[in-house]
Amino acid sequence: MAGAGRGLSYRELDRETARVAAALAGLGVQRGDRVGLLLPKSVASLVGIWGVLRSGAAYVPIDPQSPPARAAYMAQNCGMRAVLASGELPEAVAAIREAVPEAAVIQIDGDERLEGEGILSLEEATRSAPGFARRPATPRDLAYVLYTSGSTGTPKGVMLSHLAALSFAEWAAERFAVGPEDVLGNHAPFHFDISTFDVFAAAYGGACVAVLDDETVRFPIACAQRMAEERLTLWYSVPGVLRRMVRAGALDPEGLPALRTLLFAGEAYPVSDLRGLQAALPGRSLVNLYGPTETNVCTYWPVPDLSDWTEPSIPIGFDCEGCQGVVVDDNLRPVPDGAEGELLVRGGTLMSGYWGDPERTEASLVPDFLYPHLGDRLYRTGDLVIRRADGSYAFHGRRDHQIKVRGYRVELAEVEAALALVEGVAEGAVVPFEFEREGVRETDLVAFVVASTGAAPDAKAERALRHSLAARIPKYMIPAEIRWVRSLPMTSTGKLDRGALRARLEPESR
Amino acid sequence: MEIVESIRRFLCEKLGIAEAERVDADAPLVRKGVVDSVEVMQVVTFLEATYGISVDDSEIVPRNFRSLQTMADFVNRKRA
Repeated sequence: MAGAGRGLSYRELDRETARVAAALAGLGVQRGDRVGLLLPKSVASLVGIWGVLRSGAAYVPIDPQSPPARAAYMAQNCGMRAVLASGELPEAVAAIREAVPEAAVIQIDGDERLEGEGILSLEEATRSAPGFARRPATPRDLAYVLYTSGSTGTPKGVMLSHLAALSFAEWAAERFAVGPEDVLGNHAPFHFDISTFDVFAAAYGGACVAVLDDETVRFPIACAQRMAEERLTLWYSVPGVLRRMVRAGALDPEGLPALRTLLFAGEAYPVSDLRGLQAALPGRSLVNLYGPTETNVCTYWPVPDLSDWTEPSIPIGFDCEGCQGVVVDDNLRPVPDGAEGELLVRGGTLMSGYWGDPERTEASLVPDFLYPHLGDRLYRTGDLVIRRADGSYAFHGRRDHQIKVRGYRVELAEVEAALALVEGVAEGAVVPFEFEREGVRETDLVAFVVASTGAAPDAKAERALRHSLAARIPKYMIPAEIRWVRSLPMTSTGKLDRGALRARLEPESR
Repeated sequence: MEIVESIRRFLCEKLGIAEAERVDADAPLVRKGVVDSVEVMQVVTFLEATYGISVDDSEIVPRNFRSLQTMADFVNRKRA
């Protein structure tokens, strides 16, 4: 793997991850324990992931850009046993230590030394580590826990086993012919499951991983330059990153001769923009992938030549080999092809459940009625689809209040929960609104807020409100617009009338 | 520095980025997640309109847009 001037061969990776695993084991980390990963994008973060897995524990990636309070919540929620941290994130480390004082902290990256009693460097942690015996994982052992936006207001931890990770890696490596000659670019943060392709599929195929840091990927020209420098052969990202590169004229086919396959997922790729990508990089393989965190990728669609494509959008595609989807009505009964229904999925990549939440787990992983004798489960995606004549699915929206903002999953309830905690706010509701930016339909959030009695809803109050939100929820969940209202509309049954709020919004152009 | 504060005000007041109010002039805004890709483009438009400079796509790179200070330095270089 390579990144920012530092490269590691698989042999060196083996040695370095063994050190991390020994350090963790020496600190008492057991099979199945949760170890937090609080590291910005770097080679060290990959070493961290493999090191945790080698110790038999599961890694829990924490978004380095997450508000410290949210990081602390996750640490506490899953009972984090240890944290591999970077010297660059002292506030998050401090917040985690306060929430989970017994968690061991090992600093494995960063020039600045983290302050705090008991924080160990990797050197110190390995010094006292006894000889480390191998701990081969069993298929259902927990490999990682990914926290996603929760409909109850707090993030929920998706539990993924070694079997789930391997099922995906195997599928991806075979479908996209990942081999030792390949170079994959890893830019996706590890709490985003796109990263599992970069990490696991690469390892499965013996490919090289080039790590692109958090800053580079946000500048289209710089990102394309790195892609060329590292001679990437495969790329996987949300459509937005690719669209911005195409728009900036950053993708030059002659500068990227080795880039053979581009995968994208997380949000819809507008057809007109996709044509632009095809035109910018002719002859390359483009594939649309779909799948919630709970199932990893479960459908795929190789993009054909779009010159004659007349439909307004592209399908999410066909069941991945090893996955089986079924489209059902509200009573979980299969609907005929062409009819809209919820997509349910079975297969090896499914999550084991939500951490510490048997109720939501039961509600989402329903008994498999297709092959009841197997005692298997089907995951309810909550996504509405239609199965087309050729067997591929077309996406038709959500059943609930989960939306995507710039490819990020957001539960309105989580934003509203954060709003409710803001001083000076009596109550608030959040609705999505769609607008056009540069010819593309995007979604963002509008909050309707009722100020507490005596609180003046002015610019100062809005700034304070935004500060308060930033301390609790990630940036992409912070509403683009705050509207102060005297009261929130209710339906005749006394529930929040979201329809009425949405009706107040008009399509806007930025 | 005037330009630094002007960009800071733009980020806070026009883009609603709360953290921009208190952030260090040298803090790496994009890396820390204070500013995203779309907002970088909005800053570019703001700088072009406010300081009468013309920014080429190839200049929208970390070197010029890393922090409030580097952005101000970039504007000054363009105006000189």
